[in-house]
Amino acid sequence: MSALILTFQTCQQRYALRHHQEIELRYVSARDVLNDTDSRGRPLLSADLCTLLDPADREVWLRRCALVVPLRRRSVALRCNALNELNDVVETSFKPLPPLLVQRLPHTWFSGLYLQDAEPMLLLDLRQIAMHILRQSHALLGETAS
Amino acid sequence: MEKGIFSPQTMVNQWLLVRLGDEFYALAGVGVREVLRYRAPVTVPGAPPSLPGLLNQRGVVLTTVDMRPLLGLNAALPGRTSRYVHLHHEGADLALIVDGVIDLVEIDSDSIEALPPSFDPLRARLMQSMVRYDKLLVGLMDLDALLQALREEP
Repeated sequence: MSALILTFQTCQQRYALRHHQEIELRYVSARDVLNDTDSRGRPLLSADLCTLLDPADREVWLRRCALVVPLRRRSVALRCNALNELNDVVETSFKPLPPLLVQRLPHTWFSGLYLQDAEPMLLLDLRQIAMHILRQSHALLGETAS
Repeated sequence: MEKGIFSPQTMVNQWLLVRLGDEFYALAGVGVREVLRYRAPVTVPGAPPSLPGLLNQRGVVLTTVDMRPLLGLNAALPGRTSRYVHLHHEGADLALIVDGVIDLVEIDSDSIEALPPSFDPLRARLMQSMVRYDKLLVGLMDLDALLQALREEP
């Protein structure tokens, strides 16, 4: 068994994600994403993935890429810096996160660790992150309406 | 790896003396796997300050542990003598950040003292007892209590 792994970098560290067919990769500017629609013509909900993972990473002008995650009613575009690599890797390159840490995390954004030449990288669960963004958006709209 | 892998058979009465700031603690040798030079861990967004990140050590994922917030000590940047102590306890692989490793010593059970009632409760909850070693007052860490604190405390 093997998997396609993409990596990208925030100002602090590298992250990895599994490449799924349903996740669309776009090379666009932040402004393009804000005005863009998904494959079904719905307006994209956009969020800065780098700042979400690493609040110190404020260099939003470096975002050259958007990972578009389709959800049931909306699609969420997660903006990040240029993707570094696309590697075909074996399943033994993945490790689960230690349970002690998992039970202390506020979100289920990480599905494990990817070891690239012994260098560990957090493996992102983009669907969970996209759902978090959607929930935040709903909460914000609810507050505005009230 | 800085020191050899510790053999559990020789560790029954042995303790690893470590320094955190100006304080000295002892870790039961039976749980100690090795001492590692400090290197930056992979930080995990949202993790509490006591669990600053993860390390890969020969394919084993270690959860790094900073005991400073648990002990009420101020945060400090790692220095030249900073080390990780790899502990295996209750199925968990932990890499405790310490400011220095003093020595692996044998502690006679007769020299172990109960903690005085006036002892700081913040520290006392993580210690099973104390010992005087070479004029140093050393707290013997209770690893069960440490794991419990890591599971529950901010």
